[in-house]
Amino acid sequence: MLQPNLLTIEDLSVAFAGAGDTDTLVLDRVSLQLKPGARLGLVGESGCGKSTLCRAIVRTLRAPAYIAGGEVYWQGQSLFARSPEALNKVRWKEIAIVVQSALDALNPVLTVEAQILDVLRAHGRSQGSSKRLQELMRLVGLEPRHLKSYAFELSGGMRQRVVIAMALALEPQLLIMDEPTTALDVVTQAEILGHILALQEELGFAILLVTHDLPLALDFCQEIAVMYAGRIVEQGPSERLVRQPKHPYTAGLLQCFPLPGQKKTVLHGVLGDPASFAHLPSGCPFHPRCDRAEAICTQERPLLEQRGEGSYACYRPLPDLPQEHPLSYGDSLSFPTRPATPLEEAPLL
Amino acid sequence: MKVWIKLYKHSIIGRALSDQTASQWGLAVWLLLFLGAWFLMPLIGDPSEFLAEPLQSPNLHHWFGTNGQGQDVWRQTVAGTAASLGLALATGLTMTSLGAVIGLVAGYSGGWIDRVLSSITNIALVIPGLPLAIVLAAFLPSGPWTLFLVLVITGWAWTARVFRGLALATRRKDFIASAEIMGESRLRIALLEILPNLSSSFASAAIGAVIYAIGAQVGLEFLGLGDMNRVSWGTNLYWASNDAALLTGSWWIFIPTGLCIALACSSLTLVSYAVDAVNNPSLRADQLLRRRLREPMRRAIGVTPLAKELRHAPA
Repeated sequence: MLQPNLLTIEDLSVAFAGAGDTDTLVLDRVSLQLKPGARLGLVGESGCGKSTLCRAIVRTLRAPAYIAGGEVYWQGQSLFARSPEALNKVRWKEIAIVVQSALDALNPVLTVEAQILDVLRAHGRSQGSSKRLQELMRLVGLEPRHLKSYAFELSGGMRQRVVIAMALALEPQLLIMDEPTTALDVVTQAEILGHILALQEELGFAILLVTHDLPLALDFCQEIAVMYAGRIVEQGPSERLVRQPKHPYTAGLLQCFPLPGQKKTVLHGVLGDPASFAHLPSGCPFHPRCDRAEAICTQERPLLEQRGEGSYACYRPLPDLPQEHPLSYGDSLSFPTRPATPLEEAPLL
Repeated sequence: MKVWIKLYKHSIIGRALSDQTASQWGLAVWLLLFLGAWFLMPLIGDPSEFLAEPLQSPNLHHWFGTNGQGQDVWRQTVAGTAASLGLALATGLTMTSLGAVIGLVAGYSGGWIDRVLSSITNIALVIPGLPLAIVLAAFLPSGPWTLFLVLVITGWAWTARVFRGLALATRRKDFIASAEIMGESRLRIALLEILPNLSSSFASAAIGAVIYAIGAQVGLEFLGLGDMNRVSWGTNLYWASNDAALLTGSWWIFIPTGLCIALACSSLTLVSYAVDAVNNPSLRADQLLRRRLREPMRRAIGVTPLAKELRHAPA
């Protein structure tokens, strides 16, 4: 079954203008495809360009960033060819972003209701809004009475839910989530992501999940793209990635955390520091930290090539592991996918 | 010379002004006016001397002509610039410092100190500044020190109000809490922890205060509320109007002084742009990108520009 892509990113590059025309390329020819209803995870260390990519898609990057090249197609049409007004129609209505710090994303002097209403009104859907608002709150597992709350009256998890409700208010076809649960504890995280999964099954939107938490992405997404220094170094289905990481960086990330059911092993992680955009190493940007690097890795940049299930950019990929390798991740982790029942009104003491 | 250039480049001012061409020009013009006037003062001779026929238009002997009393306008302009800019600088800085200290103490101490200081500030704010200044200037013995005092009394409150708010906001930050836990004294925290964070706000407040001091000073003197025997911008204009310069068409009497006032105020405004960029560093990033754009005026807000909208794409 060949489905048309919802979102196609082609060779997208983003640079930051510097003084004296010394620009820094922070996103280097990134290509991604997203089908309707798919879940794609974008994984990488801090500062590798994940958030930049999210914001570049809808062109909300602030100065000194500019889009240095490439194209973004939304439902087959170029987003970059649109006028600012036409772009505004796509933003939030079709592509919604849950920003990194939900704590700062809410206006401290407006109630939750006023802020969600703002979204509806801006896109001309204010009719029957009070019913819709209550529905949205229930959708994310919050009591409707919190509509009258201010941001400071809510806990971190509740604020995150409010932001997600806001993102879902216009029933977007793509939900970009930029580290949506990083500030939350694991229990709340599982709850919220479980909610989103249930909602996705119900509403059928696609998700682009950005996180530095590889296990989370592996569990949540069907496909993973691993980023390093502004480039995608490996991409493939989650199951393949966890069993057969090809890029040494992916393998290193996988070794940063213990797997459930795994025998006692030493966790290695990835040694060294993330590459700096100002002094990007020649060749493969990962080679100074790579224990498999050879002469060619320091000279020539490996290109992302389609190889088997997925693609990777490496001259010295890891060999295939036997099927019953202890790294097998399987279905040991899962989120509760049923929607949480709204909490009962707590009795006032 | 090289050492001096290096020192300038690494100084706070040098760093604030780097890549802010307009502000560099502003500072240069202002310094030229200020230092030039003080440098020329001893060379030009007595500005009040009656030395020629009155109302001569500019000529070789009197570059800027003579005024209605037969005094040399060039000498009066130079002496007036030196006197007025010096007084404005002193007034502006004192005004801002007084306001900043009062605001800082009020905002940081809180409690009854804040209540008392805030009340005084609010009272000072609701009293209209210029009428009070006129009344004070009329009753006190006339002279530059009266002007100084009058302007400081009527002008400090606004800065105090702003700094109280800034101190309140800074006070809640964690590094202040940690300084308090370390046992530092309140005065030390106010002066060494909070004040340096507000230095750029202080600079922009001071620039605004100097501009206000120039305007108010000239205004009071123009109304005849200063020492009329002293030569300054305000008295120059006062005598120009008194001698009916407009009626007789003697434009050369008031144009030089008026131009100096306009230059001094607008150059300071240009300098304040650099201070804004220090206050809000993202402005600098914005400028950097705007300079690269092909049509900077047509830039859409909130939309990241594409490479084709830049004047030259990177390699």
